[in-house]
Amino acid sequence: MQSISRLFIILLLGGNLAAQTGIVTGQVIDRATGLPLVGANVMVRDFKLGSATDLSGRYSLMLQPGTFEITCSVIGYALITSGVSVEANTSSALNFELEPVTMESKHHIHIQGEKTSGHMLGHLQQTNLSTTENLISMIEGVSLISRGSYAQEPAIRGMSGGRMNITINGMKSFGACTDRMDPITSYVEADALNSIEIGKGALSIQNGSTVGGALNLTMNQPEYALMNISKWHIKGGYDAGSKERKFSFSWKMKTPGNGFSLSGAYRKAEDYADASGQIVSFTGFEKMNLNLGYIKRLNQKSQLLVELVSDDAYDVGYSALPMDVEYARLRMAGLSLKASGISPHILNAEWKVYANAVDHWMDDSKRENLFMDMHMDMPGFTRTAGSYVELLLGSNQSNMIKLRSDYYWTSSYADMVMYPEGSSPMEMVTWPGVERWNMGQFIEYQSIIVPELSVNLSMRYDLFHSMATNEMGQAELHIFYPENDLERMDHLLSANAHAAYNIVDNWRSILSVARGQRMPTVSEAYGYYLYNPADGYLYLGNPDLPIETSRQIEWQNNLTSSHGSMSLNLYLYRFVHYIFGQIMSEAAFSYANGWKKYIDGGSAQIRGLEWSVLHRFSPQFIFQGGLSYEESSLDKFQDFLPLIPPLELHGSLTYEGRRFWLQLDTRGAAAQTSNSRMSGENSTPAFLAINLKGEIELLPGLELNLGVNNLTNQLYYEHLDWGDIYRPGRSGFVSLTLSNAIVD
Amino acid sequence: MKLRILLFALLGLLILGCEESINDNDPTEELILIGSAVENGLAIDLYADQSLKVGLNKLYFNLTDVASEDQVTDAQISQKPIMHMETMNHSCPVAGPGSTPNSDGLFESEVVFIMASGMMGTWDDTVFVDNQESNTSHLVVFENLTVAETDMKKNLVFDDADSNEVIYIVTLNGLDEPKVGLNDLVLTVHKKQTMMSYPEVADLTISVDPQMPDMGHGSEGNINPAYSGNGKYEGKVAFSMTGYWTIDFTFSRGNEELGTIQYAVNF
Repeated sequence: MQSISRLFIILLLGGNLAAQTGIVTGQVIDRATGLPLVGANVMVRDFKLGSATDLSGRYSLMLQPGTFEITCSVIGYALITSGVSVEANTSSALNFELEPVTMESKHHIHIQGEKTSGHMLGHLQQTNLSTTENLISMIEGVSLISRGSYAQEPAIRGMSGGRMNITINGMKSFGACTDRMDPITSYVEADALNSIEIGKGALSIQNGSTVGGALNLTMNQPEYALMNISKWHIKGGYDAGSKERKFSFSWKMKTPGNGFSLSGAYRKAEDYADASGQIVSFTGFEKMNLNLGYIKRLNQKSQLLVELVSDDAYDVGYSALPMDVEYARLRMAGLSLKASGISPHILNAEWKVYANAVDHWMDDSKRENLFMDMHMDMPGFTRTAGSYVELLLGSNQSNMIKLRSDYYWTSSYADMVMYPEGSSPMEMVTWPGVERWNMGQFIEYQSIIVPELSVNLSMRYDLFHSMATNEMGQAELHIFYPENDLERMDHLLSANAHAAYNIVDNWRSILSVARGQRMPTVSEAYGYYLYNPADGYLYLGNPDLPIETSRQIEWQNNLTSSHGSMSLNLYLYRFVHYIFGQIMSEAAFSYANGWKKYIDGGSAQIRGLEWSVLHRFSPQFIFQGGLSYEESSLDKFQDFLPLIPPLELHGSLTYEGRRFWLQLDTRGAAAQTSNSRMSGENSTPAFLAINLKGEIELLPGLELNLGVNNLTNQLYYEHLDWGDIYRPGRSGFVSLTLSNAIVD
Repeated sequence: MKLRILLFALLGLLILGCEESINDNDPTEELILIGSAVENGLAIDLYADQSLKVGLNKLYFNLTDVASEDQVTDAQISQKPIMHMETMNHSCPVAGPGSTPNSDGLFESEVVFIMASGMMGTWDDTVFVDNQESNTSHLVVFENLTVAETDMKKNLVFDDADSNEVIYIVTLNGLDEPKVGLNDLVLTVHKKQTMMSYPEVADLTISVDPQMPDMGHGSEGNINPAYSGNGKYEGKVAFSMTGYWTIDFTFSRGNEELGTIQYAVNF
């Protein structure tokens, strides 16, 4: 491709070759990664002359003597213009470092299936006290399941847990709490986040098969640069409501061959008060997070990346539960090798190996009123290790193939010990040392057929081998499944197809169909008497559960204008073998209403819509809003599905000045009365909460961030909150950021 | 090359190791010798699968012709265990051995000891052998048997239709080492007819109900004991976790509930 353009230039200038000419050569690289950019346009301003970079990011231009302005551009990066003077018979060097285009927020959020439309989250400003979950929840169709003020669990269109596939930088990791108190998102600090990639339903199956959605959190990564740069910032913040103190720092060192990054955060919060001034007990926590990254440039085309994550939470209160978390910790390590432009047909290649461990210890040592008058503890552990290879093949942007092979092994063990006074301890294994191996193959084909029409097809096959290895745990499950060897082999096949068509210039329509499959989770297949405080039942796993399968159809329309954009998304999911907890016994005893077993619940449906709008009243004054609504049904039981969010809306009005911004945002929901009868859900009243926040640059390198959450002091809880615990009342917060203010 | 030799050597060792373990098993190797006696040219060895205890005990008799050192399998054996107390003697429920040896040539029997040996008295077992190979009769007494105390023997006491008090002797067996999960259990039920006669009771229906008083719940997956012969009822009890459990057995004949006996297990 670019050899043609070089030829073209030579031909064009050929007549002047005899005359005296000079050459401008250079390389174009990504400032963030230091990698060469292939196919970047290097144009001579005011002359319609140009070139494109080759596989090593290099270009050359032959020009007559004189002074020229050269612009360099490539999709996804900010355009740079630079001056150069050309002398006859000499070669001048002109290198470009392009900055990836970032949306105006500090975090990019990519949504699969909406790849081309971009998302409007860009204008949602974040404060220093925002959590990872806060960021995720601002996307239409994403809600949070809350059990207190810590570690909320993301749900996409009402689907969570095992229905979602959550990865960190493409790495698999699993929470270690049998009660899902530690969704893996809780081990990532918002400060360390670079972007969040979300796929709804089975529209994104690259990192794993799923029916409900994919969430990949990518962390800030070390970078190298052409010259030595050191960047740092420190932040301190305080929230009056929960007396949360937060301190975080980040330091990045970039040199031509290496990059190093270190960031950390410490948060400590007390119990917060709800809008009536009532202290909500057991909502405090303490958390410490450290991220270390190192990148080494091996050669012009490849790099080596090492990443280490450590996260420790202590004394996390769970108001909706009779127990708290003594500690929850994650240790994660990854090593990857990335290369680009290896050959004309391999655009990118990545190989990664990783391992992580999650330990989670719940007990009631902080409680005075003991559940059933006895102490108990519930430790859980997961270990995961895996590897993947990813290849991006193609010779140009209009036809690309992505291949990915991934493998992982994970092991989950949990037990529970109760200590009745004056009697023997009571112990049971709740996750019977479940070992699971997964091998997955993914292929995606993307083609721009005509400029107005592009298609994207992807397919994924997964092989799972699962077994329970703990002897006591096996004996427990054999009570119910005497003949079952508690071992299973599963084959999963998922696929999706998207077609995007520009009906008119500013109206783009995307039709997607998908089939997704998912494995029963460790709890669903092998869990043993796991207490669910949401409905008060004990849950028994079922090793004979079938694979849950979904079929999904989605129609998305995006309208853009010079003042903004609007999108409407209609979707329908049909499930077969929907996994569901069925009541087996209602013989209630001291703490449980009875017990349930996971069963094949038959067919189910979710249908809904998402609408969002962005309007610029002026370059500074922006409105953004959205609305989502969905309905569900579980056909066999003539019931609704559990944890389905009601009609939700959010909106924000932002003023973005040169040195400050101010934002009024609101989030609300209608009452939810379509409750899952079989899950014992009850109705939730409507609410509307308003927050006000702003940031001002006091001095170069010093920013003040402040605001008020729940401005109108609404007393409310959301439908997905466990135990109907009220959310925090009005509270002010303030934070300061100090940085060395290098605008690199 | 060296590796190959090493592999062959390892393989050889494995084969040798296997061959050694194929040796003929002595059928009494895993049994405990309770006593031996020689009477009129016949050696009588008494074995048990565990040391004797209150409850169901499995006993084995091995007969050997002293002269030929051959095992004698054509014989008829009967036994009478007696507890000698200061003021009285009593026996206990017994089944076997009879005249059919098992495949190892041992004569099996079941004895339900209903009292421990010790201060209260001593157990002996009078054994009568009719050796049909040599047409001789032999009588030996194994004295001073040590029977350990357990709390697995209980009495089910009720009045029959004629308002006479009836005593059933119940023992619970198989829960010496209880574990989480399903546990096999054997109940024995015998009627205390006289001090010397304890006929088996075969016509009961029994239900099992384990409970965890500290938690206030029972367990799922239990299998009620069903009659399997010789006064034995076999069933399963499920312990969903470790800790202190009570097990209630309710005994009925037809529609008439005779009573409930509770055992406790702690592990």
